Parts: sequence; C-alpha cells; structure tokens
Amino acid sequence: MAQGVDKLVNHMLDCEVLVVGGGSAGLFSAIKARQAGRKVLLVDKGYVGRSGSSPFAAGALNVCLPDDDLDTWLEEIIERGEYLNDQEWVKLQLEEGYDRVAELQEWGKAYAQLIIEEDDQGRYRRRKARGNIKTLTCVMNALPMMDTLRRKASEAGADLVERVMVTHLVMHDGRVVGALGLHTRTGELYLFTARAVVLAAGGCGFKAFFIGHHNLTGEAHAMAYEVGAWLRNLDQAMSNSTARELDIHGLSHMVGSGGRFLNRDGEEFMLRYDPEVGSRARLTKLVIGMAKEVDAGRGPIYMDLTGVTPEDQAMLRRILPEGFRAFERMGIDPFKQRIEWMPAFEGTLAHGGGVHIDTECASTLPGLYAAGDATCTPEHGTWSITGLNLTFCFVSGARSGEFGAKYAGNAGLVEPSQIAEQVTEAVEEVLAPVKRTEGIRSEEIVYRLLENLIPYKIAYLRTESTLKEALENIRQLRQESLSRVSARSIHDLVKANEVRSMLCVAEMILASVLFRQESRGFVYREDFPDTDNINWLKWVMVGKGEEGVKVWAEEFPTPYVKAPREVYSPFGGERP
Amino acid sequence: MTVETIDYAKCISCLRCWEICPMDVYGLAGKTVYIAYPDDCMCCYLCELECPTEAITVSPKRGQVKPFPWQGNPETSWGG
Repeated sequence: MAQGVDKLVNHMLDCEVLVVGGGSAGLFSAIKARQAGRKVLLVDKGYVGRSGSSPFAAGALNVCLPDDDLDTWLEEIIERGEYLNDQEWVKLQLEEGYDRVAELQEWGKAYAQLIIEEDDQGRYRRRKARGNIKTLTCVMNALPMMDTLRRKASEAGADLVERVMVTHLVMHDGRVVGALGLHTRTGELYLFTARAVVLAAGGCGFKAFFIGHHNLTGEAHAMAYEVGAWLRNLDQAMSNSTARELDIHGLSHMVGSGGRFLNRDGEEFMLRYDPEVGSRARLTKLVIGMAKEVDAGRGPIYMDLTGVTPEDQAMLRRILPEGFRAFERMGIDPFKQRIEWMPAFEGTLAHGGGVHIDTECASTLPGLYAAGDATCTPEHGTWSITGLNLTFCFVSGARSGEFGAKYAGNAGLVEPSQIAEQVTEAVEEVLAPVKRTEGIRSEEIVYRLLENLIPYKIAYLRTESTLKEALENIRQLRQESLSRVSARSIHDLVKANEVRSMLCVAEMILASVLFRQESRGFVYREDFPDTDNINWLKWVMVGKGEEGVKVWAEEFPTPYVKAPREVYSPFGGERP
Repeated sequence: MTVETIDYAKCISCLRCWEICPMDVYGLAGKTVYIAYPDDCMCCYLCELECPTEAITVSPKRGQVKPFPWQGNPETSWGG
C-alpha cells in the first residue's frame, strides 16, 4: 500500500512547465516558456551555467545567415548527414537558427558578454571547420554564453533548483505529469508536479574519455525509456577524439586552423578515407579511419598543430581555455610537438540518439517534450557538419519551451495522491543502494561497462558476433548491478543511480547498432561494409517492450533531398 | 591525480569552486572548502579558471583508471 506522498519525499514543488536540465537547451526552453507566461521550474544536477555539455561547447556554431543560400546549406547538411536527418528539422533549424543566435548575442551584449566572435565590421567571424564544404562555422565562446543564459532565465522569472538529479518521470492518465529528484548533497528527495515536462538533461557520455561530461550519464534517456517514450538514432552513438594522456576538446576549430592527423609514418592518412576534406573529415569517418590505421599496424595516431598560424593559435587559446590549461600543466606545447591521439567514444553527447521528437519537440508521450542532446538530434542525420548540435540546442530549446507552454495551457496538474504508488516505487529504486551493506561499487561497474562499449571491435570495427557478445555482457552487468550496486554516502548514491541510467543507455545503443545491417555514419560493420540506401534508409527506433529493450526500423519522409537508391562504400569507390 | 591542492594561504572562502564544480568534488566544512572526492574530478579546469586568487591547482591526469579502446577484458573475444 502506497504511503502518503508527503511522507516519502522532503519537498513537493509544482509548476506549469518543468525543465529538466540547465544547459543551453534547457535555459532557452525555460526563457521561452516564461515569455509565454508560464510558471517555470528548471532543475539541474549541478550549478546552472557550469553543468552539462554546454559550458564545454568548443567554439563551433553553425549559423545560416539571411544572405546565405538556404538550399545549398540544406543539401550539404543532409548529404553529409548520410540522409538520416529529419529534413523538416534541418530546414527549421536553418530558418530559425539565426534568430536564436542573434537574440542570444543581443542578450550577451546587454550583459557586456561577447558570445559570437565578430570582425571589425560587426559581422560574425566564420570559417571552414570540420566537415564544411560550402557552409561556414561561427566561432563562439561557451562560458559567456552560459553566464548570459543563466542570467536571462533568472531575470525572466524561471525558478532554478540546483544540485538535484532527476531520476524518474511520473505518469498519470497516459501523460507525463511530474518527476522525482535526489539532492546530490543533502540526499533530500524532491517531487515535482507539472502540466508539461521538458527533458533537456543532455546525453550519456559513460564517464569515458573526453573533457567535461562525466556528470552526463543518460538520466533523460533512461527515464523516458522507462515510462514508454520512443527513442531513436541510438545506433549513431558518437565518438569524438582526444589526446591519449589527457581529455581535450575543440578539435573542430583545430583542424579548421590547419591541424592534421598523422599516422605512425607521418602520413595525413585521412586524405585516403576522405580526399575532399582530409583531416577536416566528419567525426564518423575520422574515428573509423583512426581505428583502421591502428588495426593495420600504422598506429599510433598523432595530432599535429605545428602549422597553425600565430593568429589562430591565439583564437584557439581564447575559445578553449580549459584544454590549453591542461596542455600547459602537462608541459606540452601543442603548437611545437605532435600529440598522441585516439578515438573517444562519447555515447549520446552532442549527437548519437535520444528521445524521438517531432518538429514541436513533442515526444511520443503527451506532456513530455525534449530538447538538445536528450533528443534523437534529428538535424544531424549520422553526423553532419560541425556546430549543428549547439544551434539545435538553441532552436529545440526555444521550441520545446514554446510548445511545452502551449500544451501546459490546456493540461491540469495531478494531485500527489494520484501518483503515490509510482512515487513509492521510484523512491525505493533511488534509495536501494544505501540500504545494501555490501555490494559492488559503482566505479567497478563503470569500468566493466566501458570494457564492453569502447574497444575498437565494439565501437568502430564492428561485427555481429562481437556486438552480440558485448550486448549480452551489458545485459548481465545491468541485472547484476540493479540488485547489487551499493552506496555509503549521498555522493556515492548519486553515482549508483548514474550507473543505472548508463547501463540502460548502453543496452539500447548496442541493440540499435546490432540491428542496423549496413554501414552508415558511426555504424561501421565489417560484416556489412556498404551503405545500403535500398534497404536501410531507415531510422532505428527503441522502446520498452514486454521483454525489455525493443528495436525496430522506421521509414521516414525525405521531402527536400533524395538519397540515391544505391548500395555503395561509405569511403567512396575504393575501400582504403 | 586530478584536483591536487587548495592553497589556503590564498583561498578567501568565496566558495565559487564549491558552487560550480560539475562533479561535486568539493566539500564544505564551515566556510572552508576542501577536496572531498578527488577521484571524481574530470580535470575540466572550471574551478581553477574561476578561482579569483589562483589558489587551486588541477592536474590533467585522469582520476579514474579506464580501459583504452585497444585494451579489452581477456574474457571477451576482442580482449587480451
């Protein structure tokens, strides 16, 4: 029998629009929902403005200016997204992206913050960066952006609840009506009730290699899955790349400034895999190229920044303060020496699948909206040109706030007594690890998870047999950890709950990759090495079935750019 | 090693590091910040960059040991 909810939790807070996550998407959402007149509560696991991926956004922002030819940009983004993009979303982003960026820049200037770098005439500075052929990439500064958005959201009247990790969504009458959260310092439990909920809590990086994401552990994905929302594109879980010895970011503008990837023999090997752009290859090809070089005995891989001009060196130091501090502390001058490099599996950060949304940011469940990395990142396709994901955070953030606010206008608030049973179960699950006097530490589970997710044969050069083996290992680990992970402090309890989310996302990713029987984007299958537009021009979907993770394929409309009905190697005519 | 030291001769207890750390690495005793969970530091440098008195030193060495992509558990077909 469920107890009274007030006996189960320490705080009960209600609002009209609940935004989960305070990165750039969540803050845009909160600002727009407030501007629509709603009572807004934004909850974040950390300090809003220094939490999530956005503070580490590494300078690349894709903005189609009013004078640019939208059709050219649309075509490039879809072709380079290998036709998996939601084309309506690409168009929408190209149409609305500039307005959001201009608005952000204006807010920033009012607070004496410069977010988008400008030239002498006050035009956005743009250059070719990762993947650009005819399109261009703006240069932006992340921390001024976050300071601006935090201040703007507060001034707009959104209430911030910080250091609370949301772990569960709550349903009533077929719609999402609230969420449960754990305070990461006090251990107090928060029950939020809302007319609409926006998931903007980012992706899942699995605490692997790469800078700045170890608190992004997939809660949005896992809780959406648990209540029955559909997810999409998890087969395209992404990789970036980083130094072997330290976590670094900002590769897009590094290669845009003349940085090159070299193999053991000093060859700029990416020219073989992607002749048109070489080291500026999209991440999909870059990481598979790296893995293939190592597999062929031509590793290790190096990053060579020795050809970067003094002006660009200064720009890189300005937009990447964290990374250059790390180089300095290691005694490395990246402009004078090569640095050993490797692929860095990043899961669903910046791209790589998440909650399936329509162009109004609505999920498949009434009352549940999603924005930013928590979504299926519909603009990117497999992984198109650089900087799309950050613009998507602004556009989807704003739209989720607008449409979430609209939905909230016609939806009622749930009575806590109506959800007592679900809250009881959720509280049990959140707190279970502290009740175990013995068990497994979350760190050990993370290590074992990574052993089955990031090796070359699982993440890059894949086959059915290794994928099946890894998936089975993850399933066993998930079962084992659900009943055995233990915690002796609130800090450990947070990590134990993070492990629960990460294992759910890992299982969804591996099941999705296994399902795609072709090679496209981040999915490179040694047993299916070709891109197959005849049978596999489909999205891989995930949902909760009666026996757990269920995966299926869906065809989708391609109203603006048609894919050739062909089967071809993703690396062009000759297989390197 | 991750976040290594707080120089208490320089620290003015503004609590900014404790306030912003994304990984909740810092603890607070009275008005004194201390390094509570150094193993969870992700070397993001936000605390060091924002410390007004340069009291914090972060090392770029990763806190948690993790398998590299070329390493694998010997019990798996790709490991060893």
